[in-house]
Amino acid sequence: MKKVIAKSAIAALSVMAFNVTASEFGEIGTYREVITPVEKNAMIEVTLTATTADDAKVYLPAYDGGSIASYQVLSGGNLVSGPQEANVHGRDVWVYQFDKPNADISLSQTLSVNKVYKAKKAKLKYSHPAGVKRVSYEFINSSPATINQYSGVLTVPKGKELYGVVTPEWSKKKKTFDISELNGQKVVQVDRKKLSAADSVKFKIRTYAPSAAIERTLWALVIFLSGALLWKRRGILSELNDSPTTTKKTATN
Amino acid sequence: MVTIARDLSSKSKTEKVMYYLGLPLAMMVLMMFYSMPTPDGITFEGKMSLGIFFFALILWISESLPNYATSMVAIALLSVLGGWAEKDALGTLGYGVIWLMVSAFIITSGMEKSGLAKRIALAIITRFGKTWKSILMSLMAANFTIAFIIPSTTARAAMLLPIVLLIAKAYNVENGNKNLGKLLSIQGLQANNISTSAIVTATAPQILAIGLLKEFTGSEVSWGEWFIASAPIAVLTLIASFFIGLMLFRPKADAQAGGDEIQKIQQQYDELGKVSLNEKKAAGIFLLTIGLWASDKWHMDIFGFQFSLVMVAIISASLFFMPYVGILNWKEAKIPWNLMVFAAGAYAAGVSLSETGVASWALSGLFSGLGVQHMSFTMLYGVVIAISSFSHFVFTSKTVRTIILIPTLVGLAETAGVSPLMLALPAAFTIADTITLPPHSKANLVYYSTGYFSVNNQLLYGVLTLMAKWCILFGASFTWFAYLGITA
Repeated sequence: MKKVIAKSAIAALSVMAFNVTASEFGEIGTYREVITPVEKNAMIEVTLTATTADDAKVYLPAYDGGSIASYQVLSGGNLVSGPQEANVHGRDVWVYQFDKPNADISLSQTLSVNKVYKAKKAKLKYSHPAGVKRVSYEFINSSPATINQYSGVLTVPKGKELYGVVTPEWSKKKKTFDISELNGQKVVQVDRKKLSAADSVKFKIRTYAPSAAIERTLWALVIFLSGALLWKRRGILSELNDSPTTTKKTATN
Repeated sequence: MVTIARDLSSKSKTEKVMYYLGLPLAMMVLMMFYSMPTPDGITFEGKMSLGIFFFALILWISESLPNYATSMVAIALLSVLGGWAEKDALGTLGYGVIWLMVSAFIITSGMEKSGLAKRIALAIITRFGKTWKSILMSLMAANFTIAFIIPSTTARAAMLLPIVLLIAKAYNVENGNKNLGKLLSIQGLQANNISTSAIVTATAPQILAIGLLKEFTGSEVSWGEWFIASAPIAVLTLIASFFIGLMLFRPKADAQAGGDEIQKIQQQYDELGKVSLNEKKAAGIFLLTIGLWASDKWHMDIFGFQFSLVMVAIISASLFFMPYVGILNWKEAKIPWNLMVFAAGAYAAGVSLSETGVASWALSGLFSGLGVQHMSFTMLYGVVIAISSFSHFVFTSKTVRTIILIPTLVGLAETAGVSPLMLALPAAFTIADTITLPPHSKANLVYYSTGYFSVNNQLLYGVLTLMAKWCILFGASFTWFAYLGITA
């Protein structure tokens, strides 16, 4: 009984603490990031809408190995200062100071993040084509505020094929990711709702650059085999006139 | 030197040309897929699985390679070219449906060896076949009954053929009563195929269909659910087939049987003597199987265990090998492994399309153009059932048709915003609608071998029967199927 009471008390306190945190750190309505490769690094363009906290600040996720290259307030309040790196609850965040508390704002920022596109050899077992690489990216909501609607767009490097998407896993029951084209490049988009503090979204894709030499060799082989087959079976054509005129077929099962 | 060559002497011109061009064309198509940039919306894996699917499809249709060889090549290509992971592609041979097919063939072998199926067929004919009408009806009943026991359309056709020939002789079909010959044989093949649609285990592609339905929709259709939904449709179609047959090929009103031949059938039945021990064993095992299949909803309450469709079949098949209980040894079990390899490859080619997201991508692209989202369910259902039923014109293999049809319809239903089972399950009831031309099933070929009817006879009769079935299925969509909750 004591244990039940203790657990209930902890649960109630946790809920209260969460509510306090939510009002204390504002809210992030939508958070869209487009990750594009710059050699081995990535340029991440973030567009977001948020509500400033009681202290008129907006707390945004920081990126490991990332720095803000540019930022712009698109609508809402005026920026007093901004972005400062801070540590909230043991996690790094970017803090933008606005002039009004509890105001709806929208802003964009461009970040440079290191080694996102450092391709590694894909872990494929048994038979598979040579030269398949994997690219992994993980977004962690290091902000204390919940992201209501997250949308991440990972761009496939130019000159590479999107071999496959490992994470998130493809599901028959619901759409876990979208593949489309953005600015002439193939992208994988993942959408999530209610991304709480410390929640993460993982991207793991495989890329592939088919070898032109292998392609030419395969074409040559196919043309040779096709020619050889047509030549070897040419007798069938000479028998055509002897065929029955009916369209009798043979069942295969 | 061993020469691997196909006998093409019985092939038509078109088939010879297809055989000649099939393999080069398939290789070219595959290479075009390999070389082209991956279309938007899919991955390289998806592109290659689509290419390999078309490669295999061309070979299955053209028969430029034996179908089992095509399947093996398809599995290898899926793995090597990146269409599907090797582990998954190879894993199709271990799918439940393959085990079900192996078990079904063991059960068939047991039933054939025991002679039980023959006894049941002969009993129906001798008991109910007093006039030509009752003969036709009793043949239909025999076809329907043994469909429970023999899960192979070809085996059932082969089993009833001697009886049909005996009856035809009795009614002097070859000398002046040709219409009765047409009815006996065409109705025989129609009854064979239509009865098949009532019982999921009556042909392997239907088992494959419920496997695919489970794979794609997560919905399990039990033996009993299939039977309850489909049997009334099959019975009504059989009745329609009977009357369409009479309308097209009415025998002479005074058609009388020669007493000798009817007596021969009776004699054949009498010669079977008492029910043998083997027949009793086979009957026992089969009753157990049917009982377990039919009572699957209550397994937990009755036994405290749940037996799946596959496990019931495996248990039954293994009973045929058991000491004292069984009647078979391994050599007597006629398992066509080529069919299993073919099915595994067909499954791999089909399932990889779904697993890589290509099937849904292709369908949403295809059907968004047709505007199925705005089509009423009634219209969509009618179109789907017609396409499903008559699609057997294109495919000589029920298995390949199933592999293509079910995932396509699941995708279509999802695109149209209706439950996949609402379209895919009624469409699955048309898998055995292979009644319009002799090559559409081996059972047709068995009956065609009697020489009692022409291709045109079968085509006309078959098309009319299928149109009747379409009407019945259409009516069922807002009556029987709606009551069962399939289309509601």
